[in-house]
Parts: sequence; structure tokens; C-alpha cells
Amino acid sequence: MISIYFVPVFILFVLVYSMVKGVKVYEVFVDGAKDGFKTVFNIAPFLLTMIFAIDVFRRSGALDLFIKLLTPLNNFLNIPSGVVPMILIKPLSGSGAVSVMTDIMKTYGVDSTEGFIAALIMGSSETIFYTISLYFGSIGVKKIRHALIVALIAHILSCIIVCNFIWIFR
Amino acid sequence: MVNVIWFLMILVGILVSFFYNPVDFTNIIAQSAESSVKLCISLLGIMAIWSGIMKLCEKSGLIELFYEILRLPMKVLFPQLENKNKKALYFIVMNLASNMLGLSNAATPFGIKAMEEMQKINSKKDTASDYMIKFIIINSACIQLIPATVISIRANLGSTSPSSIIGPTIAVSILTLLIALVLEAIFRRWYK
Repeated sequence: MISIYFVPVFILFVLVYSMVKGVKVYEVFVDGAKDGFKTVFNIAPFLLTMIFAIDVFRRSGALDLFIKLLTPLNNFLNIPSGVVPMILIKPLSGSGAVSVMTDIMKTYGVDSTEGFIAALIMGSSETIFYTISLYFGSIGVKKIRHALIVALIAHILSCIIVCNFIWIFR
Repeated sequence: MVNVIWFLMILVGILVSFFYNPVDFTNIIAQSAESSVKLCISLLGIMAIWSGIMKLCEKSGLIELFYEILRLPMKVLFPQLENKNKKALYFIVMNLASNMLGLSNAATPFGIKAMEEMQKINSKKDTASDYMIKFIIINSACIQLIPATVISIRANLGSTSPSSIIGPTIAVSILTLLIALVLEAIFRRWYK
């Protein structure tokens, strides 16, 4: 429950430190807030565009079909079929991943191997598509080179290792 | 890269729905647009507040203090960046620290600021620099000390020990990070 106290203590620390250093806290805060508004306006089109494609892909049933097609490969790689949706959804959508994880935990049990793997995937990888469209979108970089491919392969490799050596992590 | 993936996601989505699973696309589009705008509106407030706090950290010199703590690993991960643009490193440190503490809302403004600083020393403005890619990749491993959301969902569903996920999550994050850094070093040659 550190997190409950952490935020207020951190904010208090920043404010007190700024006051001691003679920073005009109110004016500087407003200045920062202005930047925050600008940033959101800059990234909004990128988020909308990416979320649109993700929603079409998910809700058209393409994601489910993709999961079915991958079944033989998953058997070969020793990935429990229950956690496959989790591996695929996590890079695409944060809220989607939460609901998939909850589903897996309800179906297989929260302390089951499937439930445990889903929780690990949830906590150990980022919503890569979101991060990339947000960060590169905000500065207008269009050629992202190997950022996405490396992040995706690393995510999948790490999921395969977790599924095969889950006894190490439990 | 993003162009192709974005195109394929929509193409495959629409084709699958035609031949396999007829759905109401008008509805999907409307809901998708609405959820994006809702996300942006909720981001507006929280980003403004954390950007305000970020500005205070910046103006008071607090970020330099935090930087000193993590200086060594940063020098290894981002060689030469200290000489080129020290401010970028300050923001990278603040972004990683906020992420580790589970403050993802605070992490975003710091991360964007870090990208802006790295863009200043980027020779090709429309192309990602090596520093940016390394930063994104470190971010994608999502190292956090307390995965609060996961723990609370586990607790809600009646896990015998909800917080026993903490250690394994950190271990897997570090594993993902190491794999990603190795892959990055390999792929860098092919994506000049």
C-alpha cells in the first residue's frame, strides 16, 4: 500500500523543494499545465488513428481467427491455449488486456498456471502500439525503424520463455 | 512499417468480417472514435496536472538530483548522450522512475519531453534516432516495482496471495528488457 502514500508524499516533496529553491510554484505549474494540454492535442490524432485500426481488427473477429490459426504453433511452442489471447492483445490494447486477463483468471482460476502467466504478461510488457504512436507521434517522427519489430519479438520471446519455464517463476 | 501494419489490420479486419463474421461496422467505427476522444479528454486533465508537477521538478532542479542517483546505468544505456543533450537524460530518468513506481500518468509527460529533447539532436527529423529507439524499447519492458492493477484484480478474484506476483513480474520484465536490448543491437544494422 506504498502507492497510496507515494503520490501525495511525492507531490508535497516537489512543492516544498520548489518553494525552498525560490520557484514561483503557482505560475510554473500553470505553465506546465499549458504544455500538457498542447501535448494531448498533438497526440490525439495519432491515438485515434491507432485505436481505430486496433478496434477494427479486434471487433471484426480477425483477432479471434488469428488465435485459432496459431493453435498448432502454440502447441509446438508449449504455450497453454488459454493464454494465447493475452499474448496477442497486450501489445495492442491496455484495457483489452485487463479484460482478457480477468477472463482467463475466471475461467481457469486466479492461482492456476494460466491465470499466473496472464498476470505476468500483464505486468511485464507495455501496450507497445500505444506507446509508439504516442511518443513518435508527439515529435512528428514517421520512420520508426526497428522500434516496433524489436519490441514485439522481445514480447513474444519472453512470453514463450515464461510459458515453458513457469516453474522457475512461481 | 507502421504504414503496412496499420493497413493490414484494417484490411484483414474488414475481410474477415465479410467472409466469416458479419458485424455492424458503422457501430464499431462510432464506438472506436468515441472511445478515443474519451481517452484524450481524460488524458487532458491528468496530463496537465502531471505536466505542472514536471515543470516544477524541472525549474527547481529536482530532476538533476534524481539523475545523479541513476547516472551510471544511464551512461551505459545511452552512451554519449550526456555530452550531447543532458536534459534528455534527466527526462528519461524521470520517465523510467515514474514507470517503476506505477505512476504511468506521470511517466507520459516526462517521456514526451525526453523525446522532444532527443529530437533536438536528431539529424534526420522524420526518422527515429538510435537513442529514441533504445528509450522506447526500455519502456516496452514496463519495469515496475508494484504492478498495482494486477494485484488488485488478483485480490478481487480471491487469490491466496495476490502480491506474490511482484517478484516474478520484475524478473520477467528484466528478462524482456534484456532480450529487447540484445535484439535492438542486432536489428540496428539492418535498419539504418
